[in-house]
Amino acid sequence: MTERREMPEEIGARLELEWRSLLEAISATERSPLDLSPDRRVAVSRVALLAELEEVREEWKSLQGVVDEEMGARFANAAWTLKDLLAHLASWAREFGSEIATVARKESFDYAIPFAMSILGPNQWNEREVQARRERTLEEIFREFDEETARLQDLMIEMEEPLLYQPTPFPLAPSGNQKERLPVPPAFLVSGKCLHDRYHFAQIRKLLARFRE
Amino acid sequence: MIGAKEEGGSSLENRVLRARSRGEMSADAAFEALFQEYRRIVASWLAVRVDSGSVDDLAQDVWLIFYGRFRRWEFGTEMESAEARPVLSFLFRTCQFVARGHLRLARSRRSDPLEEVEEKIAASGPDTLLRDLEAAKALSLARRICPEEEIDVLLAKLAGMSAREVATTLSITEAVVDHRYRDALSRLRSKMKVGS
Repeated sequence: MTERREMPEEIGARLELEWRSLLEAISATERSPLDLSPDRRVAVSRVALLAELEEVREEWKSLQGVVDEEMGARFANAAWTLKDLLAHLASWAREFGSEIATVARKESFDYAIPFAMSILGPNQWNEREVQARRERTLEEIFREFDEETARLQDLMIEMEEPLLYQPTPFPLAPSGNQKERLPVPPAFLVSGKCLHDRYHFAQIRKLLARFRE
Repeated sequence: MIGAKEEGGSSLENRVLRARSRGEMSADAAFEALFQEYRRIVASWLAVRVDSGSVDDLAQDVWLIFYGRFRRWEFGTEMESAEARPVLSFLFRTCQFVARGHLRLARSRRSDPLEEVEEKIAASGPDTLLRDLEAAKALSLARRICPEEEIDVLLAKLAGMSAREVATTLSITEAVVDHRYRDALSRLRSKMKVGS
């Protein structure tokens, strides 16, 4: 008897049937994050942090595909060009990577980054780091961010469990007093890094849309 | 039911997002409606990608990530299209990243002989759940023989995402979406016989 291969559309239909069976059979959890207490509704497991860092890297790659030197030279705000804004993200990627690596080595910090608690962040530090990157090419800035974010992913895999969730005095000093540094668990710092990146990515996307008008 | 349409052809997601953007629904009520609508899809997407013992935990990660994001959700112009489902697209992408993170973590643990994870992985292969489901032969086969980028397209299309949505979510063109889908079917066709 001759065997007949299914046609692609028959296979497509079969897959759809199987998919519907899977949807019906799967024991999907009914535990909604809303069932957790509000302070536990945060995605800080190692896998969640790896996923958020991966998302940030993908978004960064897509920016790399569209931002050229000419765009990079255009102003993003009164003080910074788009390239400066990208350098700002690269500088924080390096800083966060270095801070988490320090905690992973069980070492402490001998410096602080003071800033008044505001949406503007630590202005002096930001300005110094952006200035330090002015001579670099866009390619170097893109590479720095990606390598440092990849380093954070490695650290999320390697870091000892207690260290990852233990409140640690990082260099950020929100009161402006260098001796009053911010105690946060490293996992939350990494989550905050992703939030910071996404905040600026949204700004950059809007900026690119304006450039194209 | 997923994909169910009301008058005007808009999906439940679209209606929830519109209601939320107009302040007619609280953030929590809107989140819960979306959770109930998509929790089976999220679990199924994960079940095709990872060991069955990890699906619940990873689904929880996906939903916690979405919970954090939904509180700052920007209701963009995509809502003007009745077909657009930005939440489903977001969940799809997040499942991808979470599964990737899980597999990377599992691989690193496997290289450590002292870790219990190794035993867990050995006990439940990547598609145990699919193997257990008699109905999922083609899906299980697809998981084994198709490259990840074809699985991505297959799973998105099975969940009812349009080629345009899949293309936008994966940052590829619609032509590439179609190409990968056809390649996956051809790959399956070469391995499947009628009645199998």
